[in-house]
Amino acid sequence: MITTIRGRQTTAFAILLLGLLAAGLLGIRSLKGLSKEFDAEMARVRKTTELGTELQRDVIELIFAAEGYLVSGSSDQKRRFADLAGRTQEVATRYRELEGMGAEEAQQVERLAATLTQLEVELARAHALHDIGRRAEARAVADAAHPLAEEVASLISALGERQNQLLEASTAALQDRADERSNYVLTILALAFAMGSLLALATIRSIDRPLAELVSAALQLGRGDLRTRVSGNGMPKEFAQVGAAFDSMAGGLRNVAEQVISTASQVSSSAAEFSAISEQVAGSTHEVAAAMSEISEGADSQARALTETASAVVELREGTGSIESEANKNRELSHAIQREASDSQQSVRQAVDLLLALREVVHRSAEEIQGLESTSDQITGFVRRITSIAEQTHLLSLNAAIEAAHAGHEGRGFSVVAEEVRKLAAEADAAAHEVDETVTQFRRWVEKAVAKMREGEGQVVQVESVARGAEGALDTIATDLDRISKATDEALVTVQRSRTLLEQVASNVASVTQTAAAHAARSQDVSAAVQEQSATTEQISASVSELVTAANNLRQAVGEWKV
Amino acid sequence: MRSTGIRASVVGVVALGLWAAGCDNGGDGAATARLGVAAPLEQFIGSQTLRGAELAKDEINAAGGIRGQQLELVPVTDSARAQRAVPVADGFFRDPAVLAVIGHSTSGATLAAASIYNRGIPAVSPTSTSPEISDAGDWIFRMASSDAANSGRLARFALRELGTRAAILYANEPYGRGLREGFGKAFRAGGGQLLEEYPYIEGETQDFEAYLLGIQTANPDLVFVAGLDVSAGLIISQARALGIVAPIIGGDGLLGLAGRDSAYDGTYVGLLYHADAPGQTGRQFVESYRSRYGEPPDHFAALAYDAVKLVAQAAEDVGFDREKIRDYLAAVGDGRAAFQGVGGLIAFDANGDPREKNYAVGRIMGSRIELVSVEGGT
Repeated sequence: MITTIRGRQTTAFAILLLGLLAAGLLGIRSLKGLSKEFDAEMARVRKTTELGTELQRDVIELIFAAEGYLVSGSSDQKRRFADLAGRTQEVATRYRELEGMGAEEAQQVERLAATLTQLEVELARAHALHDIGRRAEARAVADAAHPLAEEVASLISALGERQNQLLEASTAALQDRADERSNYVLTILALAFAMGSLLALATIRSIDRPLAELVSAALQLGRGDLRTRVSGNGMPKEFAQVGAAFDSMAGGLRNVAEQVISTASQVSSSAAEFSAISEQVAGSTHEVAAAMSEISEGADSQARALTETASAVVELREGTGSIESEANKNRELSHAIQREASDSQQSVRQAVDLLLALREVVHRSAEEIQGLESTSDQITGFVRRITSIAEQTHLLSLNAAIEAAHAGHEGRGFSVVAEEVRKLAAEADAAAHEVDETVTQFRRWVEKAVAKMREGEGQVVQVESVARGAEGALDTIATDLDRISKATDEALVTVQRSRTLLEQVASNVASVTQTAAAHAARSQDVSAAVQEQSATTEQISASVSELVTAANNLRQAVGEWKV
Repeated sequence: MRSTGIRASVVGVVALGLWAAGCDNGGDGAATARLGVAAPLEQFIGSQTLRGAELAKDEINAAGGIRGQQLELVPVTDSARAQRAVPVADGFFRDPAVLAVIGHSTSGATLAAASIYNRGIPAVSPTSTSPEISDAGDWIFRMASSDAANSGRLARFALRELGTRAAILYANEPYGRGLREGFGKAFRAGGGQLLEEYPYIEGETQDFEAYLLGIQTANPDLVFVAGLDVSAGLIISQARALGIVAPIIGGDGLLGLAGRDSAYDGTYVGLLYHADAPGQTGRQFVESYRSRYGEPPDHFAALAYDAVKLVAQAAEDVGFDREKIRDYLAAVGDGRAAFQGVGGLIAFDANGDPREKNYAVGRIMGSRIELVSVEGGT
């Protein structure tokens, strides 16, 4: 159900418009459809008529040609006859192809075609008889064929007639359909009109009744009956809204009136109290004025204290500046130490490298000296061989001396030689012993040197580990310094931020100081105002008694309202 | 109020039942699918057509029918006459139980009935060969190749085997005229000469003496008879009686002459199908036909058999809906698979004509037709 007047009106218009539109569309469609069907019918009839005319003409010419041949025997006429025969059959075929043929028309066409065929065959037979010289028979056959031509003509006109009947029938049918369609259109229009009117009436009625209700309620309200309400049920939405507004207005009025009534009595009773209080107020005001001057002084001393605070803050800020510069120095120092440490580390590394090279050299030397030891072994072997040779030589020289002794005189010379040899052998043996001793001595030195070398090597390793330890320590120092430097940077940032904050604080303190000064000035103004207020309080006292009178009057006036 | 309402509905139900029974032609109520068969039933062509159609129907029903329903044929004669074909077609069109029409057997009847079928019932002609059928409409199909092609093949055969001077006797209706025109054109194009061309009315013209005397005078190498067996029989008898010895050749319409008179022996006929022709499929069909009717099938029977099978296949596939059957047929060989019939592969062109079907020439020898030549090409 539509509940608003606007909605009802819109719906009524929409129904009317839709009805009109539907009627219009139906009308247009019907007209189009009907005119199309009518055109098709007309086209068919026209075509039938044209075909009929053409066929009629061809049939006449056909007979003319046939007769001509019978008279003249001209082969031209015979050919013309054959051509026309073909053409008439074509026309019959075209008849068959006409659209919308009913069974009856189709049969009429077949009858026409059959008659035409017969006519042609009879005339052809006449020609054949003529050709074989049976002229009289030919003439008779041709004459007998003439009624067939008449039949063709009457069949053509019957077809035309039939088409006309069909046209009339279909025209009547079209007329009926047109009437039917126009009835549809009228019905739709009437329905749309009726529905529209009903809706309009309902709308008008739905305005009238609630309007009357609203008017009577307003009159009642005017007479002072604040309990009046409008029932919103069954009203259109718009009126229901007005009714609700009216009701809430009446409710509001009633609340106001109730409050006014109760307030009026309160006012009158309060006014008396008020009067007494106002006296007290006047007394208090004097005390206030005294307090205010104290406040004023307090404000002054506050302002002064704030000024001192401001200067302290400025000092603090400056102190912050020196912290910052110290921090900066600190940072630079730590950077310098870092650089130094890094340099030392470099030197230590170089020293370690050198030590490593030295260890290598010592190691190699020890090896070489050990090589010498084996050489001395070879020498010892060599000396032993020489010693044994010397011993054998000594034995040999003894034997030679014995042999020489056996030889006697002849052997004297030989015994001298043997003696010499024995001396030589003794010498060689002595020399060999000497060498052996030297070698033994040499080997002891070598062993001592090797031991020393090994000792040196061990010490180098110790030095290296110490150097590595130093390098690690330097590394740690560098890392620590880096951390210190970073911490210093952070401290610096914090200090800078503190300084900014302190600056803000200084400026805030300054502005507070200003405000405090202003307050001090203002409190003096207030103190003056309080004194003025004291005078005013006296006047209020007088007004309150007038208020009491007015409140009593008001209470009387609202007494007439029904709430 | 209430009782009248009930009474009204009872009356309605009874009326509906009566109407349904009427549709079923008072049958035993078993569900059936119907095909109209339109052919000159009292003539040779028609009886052969019906034989082929019956054989197909019985095979279909033995295999379970169409969608579980028995197939029923409704044979009605058109006497091969255009004027009779129209009411026959109208009857089929008005019977909603008839799904499609197998027919008509002859070109004139098919053309005359076409305007009725084109209102919305598919017709598959087994043996109409007139070139005009190609343009007969969207609801007309045929299993036979057009005489536009067939007549040319006959003319080339005649020029090659019979001679170059011809006289023509033609039935003055679509079949005869179509054959005459195609034959004449191809014969002249092949170097032949047409001496005389005479029209007659199929089944009506009795006396051909005047024409035959003219032909005797002209003395052609061959006489081409473009028509059906009824008139052709008269023509041949009268010609032989007059002493005309020239060989006689005609289209498939002359097939019915076989076995009727020894005077017809030696007549050449065009064949849309021959049981002995090489490349023919459907040996099974030939055997079934022979065992049932005691003779080999001719093209009227074979192509009617194919037509029934094709339409049944369509109805099995798309259901008992004339328009859907038509659409199915139109798509055979063009969107759907070609149909393998006993008379060759059927693939319809846009005119509902089968593309590329072979054509044979036979000679009547007693009751048999001896296969002389298979003519391909166009």
